[in-house]
Amino acid sequence: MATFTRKNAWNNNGTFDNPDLLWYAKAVQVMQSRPISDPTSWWFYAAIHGEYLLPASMIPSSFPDYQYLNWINISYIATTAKIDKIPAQKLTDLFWDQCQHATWYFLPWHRGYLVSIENILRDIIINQLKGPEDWALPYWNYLNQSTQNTEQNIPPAFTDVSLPDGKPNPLHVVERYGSIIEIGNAENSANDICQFDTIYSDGSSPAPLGPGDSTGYFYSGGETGFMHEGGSETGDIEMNPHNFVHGMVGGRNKKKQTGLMGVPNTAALDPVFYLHHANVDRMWAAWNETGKNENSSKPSWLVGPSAHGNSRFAMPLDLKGNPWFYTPADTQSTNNLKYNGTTYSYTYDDLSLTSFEKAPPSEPMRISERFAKLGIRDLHNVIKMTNDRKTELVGASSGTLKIKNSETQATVKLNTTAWESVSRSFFIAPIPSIPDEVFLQLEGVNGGSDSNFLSVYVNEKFVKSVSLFGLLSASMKNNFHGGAGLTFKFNITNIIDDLHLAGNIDIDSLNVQVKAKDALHKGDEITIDRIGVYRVSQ
Amino acid sequence: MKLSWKNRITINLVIISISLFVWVLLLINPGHIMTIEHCHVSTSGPSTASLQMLLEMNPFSSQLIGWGIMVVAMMLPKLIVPIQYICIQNFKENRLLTSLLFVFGYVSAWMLVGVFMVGAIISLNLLLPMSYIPALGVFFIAVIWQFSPIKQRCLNQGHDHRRLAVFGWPAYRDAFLFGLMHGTWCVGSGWALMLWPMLLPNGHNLAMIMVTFIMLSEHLEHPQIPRWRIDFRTKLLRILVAQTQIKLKQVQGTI
Repeated sequence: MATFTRKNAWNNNGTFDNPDLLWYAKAVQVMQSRPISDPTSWWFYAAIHGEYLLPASMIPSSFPDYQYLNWINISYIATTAKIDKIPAQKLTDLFWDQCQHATWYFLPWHRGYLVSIENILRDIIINQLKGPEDWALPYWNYLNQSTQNTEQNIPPAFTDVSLPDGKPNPLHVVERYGSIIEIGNAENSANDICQFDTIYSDGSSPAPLGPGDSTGYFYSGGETGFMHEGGSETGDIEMNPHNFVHGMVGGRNKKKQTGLMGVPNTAALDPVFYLHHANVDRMWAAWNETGKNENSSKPSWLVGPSAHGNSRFAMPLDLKGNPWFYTPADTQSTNNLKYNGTTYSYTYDDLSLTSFEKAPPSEPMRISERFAKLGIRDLHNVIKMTNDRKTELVGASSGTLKIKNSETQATVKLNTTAWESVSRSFFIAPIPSIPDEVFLQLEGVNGGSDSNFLSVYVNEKFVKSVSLFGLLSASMKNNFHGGAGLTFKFNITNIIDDLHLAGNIDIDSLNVQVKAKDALHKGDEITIDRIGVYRVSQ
Repeated sequence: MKLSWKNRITINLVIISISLFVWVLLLINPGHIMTIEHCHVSTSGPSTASLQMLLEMNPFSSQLIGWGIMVVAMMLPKLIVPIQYICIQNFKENRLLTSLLFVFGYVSAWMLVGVFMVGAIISLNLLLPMSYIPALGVFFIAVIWQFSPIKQRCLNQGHDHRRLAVFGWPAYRDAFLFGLMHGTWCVGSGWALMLWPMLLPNGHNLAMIMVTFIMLSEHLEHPQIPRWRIDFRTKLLRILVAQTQIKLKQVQGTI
């Protein structure tokens, strides 16, 4: 069995001297020449991730400024796509709009998506273009600290207007307004701190040690149940770097319009999408490669969404639309992947755990370090951990908050009785017990501006930035999310610990500030239904 | 944020127990709280006398109570998800009261429409006593409604879990309004399905069980773009099948 190796797109300076990129471009061109009714066309494949096409009026009148995202208005889509002739409904029902975001299926679904298109591209490269038989999808590692190239830039093969033979470059996208990834640990920067997570999700086995999310968040999101209501929890790798990079590559033009990569329902139209996801997939493989991290072993993860009565993952294999159905269990390993009844194997030329970060986060929420910070002697050997942690609301803001220009401020009033429980937890901590963890949640964030970022501050201390990738879709009433918007959860335990150490734990409110990185559309705004503060105790 | 596993199980058990208890009441029908079989009192067509006779034997109020009991039995399990949502969205001490207010608001919507439904049932029984024609007519309306974009719009709105105030009386107001709106969209999606069993001269209980399964199932589906679509919305069945398969595989040790 051959093992295909996915290589760095920046090889040969990221130009068309890199054969992986040249053959990719040629094969993409073939897929783009096919009409959308063909399940092996570029356009059909992009719609598998998500589309603003069916019906044409999908972007509702409440978001008039976003009509430019409607596929009929996107100049990058070639006329050969014939998007006015959409495929039969049985095909669109089976394949389109499948992307798994803010779920614990994010990683396995995208792995299958890549494998599927990689096989179609390879088939074109070998049988139609007479190219190399070992071609594999390259990855774009924007976090690479190479001294040879500035790899946070999009490889030049994606920005050149022409191919070496003078033909138009199919990898060049007019509606891509970002070109560089801001990396680092400053606000709104992409990094790979997620690679230090040790827990796949809250449904993982072995159970996480400690209260709340012991490392702050989970690698691949909260457990996804039978309904995908608001409040789903985006995993660390999905938020940063994945969502961050989408927003940065999509970027904004002078009219403050978001580029294709910045919005889930247009993202997969951009050929750089698949290289971005190959990198995310590479990071997952590297995370598994350490031997210390395990994917979830829960049956409902292994079986996939059909465990909860939802659709199976399905990818078209040929122009007839014959499907490959797969589960997370099938895609757990890159060298033993169950693909369409066979075993498929691929690897990456670099499986280093991290490319940017070389040390764990400086302020982790690990229990032992938290104990040290709070002056509690090492007790975690005698503390009995439980899997069933109690979660309780302790405070909330009143009324809907609006971010009109670039920021808003709110007072989150705390419930006296509930907050006393938090205080008490600190004082009983020297007994074998763990002080509460405290989380802040932006609930029901609605609007557009998908490529934008929000930064959250509590009592003037910076907590974290989040990307708004997917905000428009989540805000649409008659869409998958039912208009619930996005929910963002922040672990603010560090700030509460500091308040405790400063003797200010008995407070009646917290001051929360939310800042948008970029100014919003004129007349547009982002709304936040509520800011909630929760305690999580053992 | 999610409720703890124990809290979720408690909510599930309480709600399902109440629903089952009310189902038993309905099926055994102690004291004839479900008066439907007594509606067919006249075969001589509608008249003031026959209406009076019917209302004497089946007071409007008792028919309305029967309607309310049926709503509670059939629809209470559907409220598990929103009640869990209310509980995590509220302070611990307010969880019970706000949950009750939500249920009260929800049932209020169904009771309000129940006045018209019971009126329609009485009228149809007077017009066509012991006839399957009204049931057949409503069945066709229900089928058309079932696949209509309006129904999908109502189902979509049922996923609208509004953010709740938590301090003072607005907390109670919001819980009640959430229930009222949730009930309104539920009525919008399921009024025809609920009316159909009530018009059946026979097989009423079986039809109610079928309708319950359909309604619970369709509310579990994700929101979709409203359009005409033949969609049987069998999610509850799919969940049961999938979970059974998983349990069997676990027993066999293949998962």
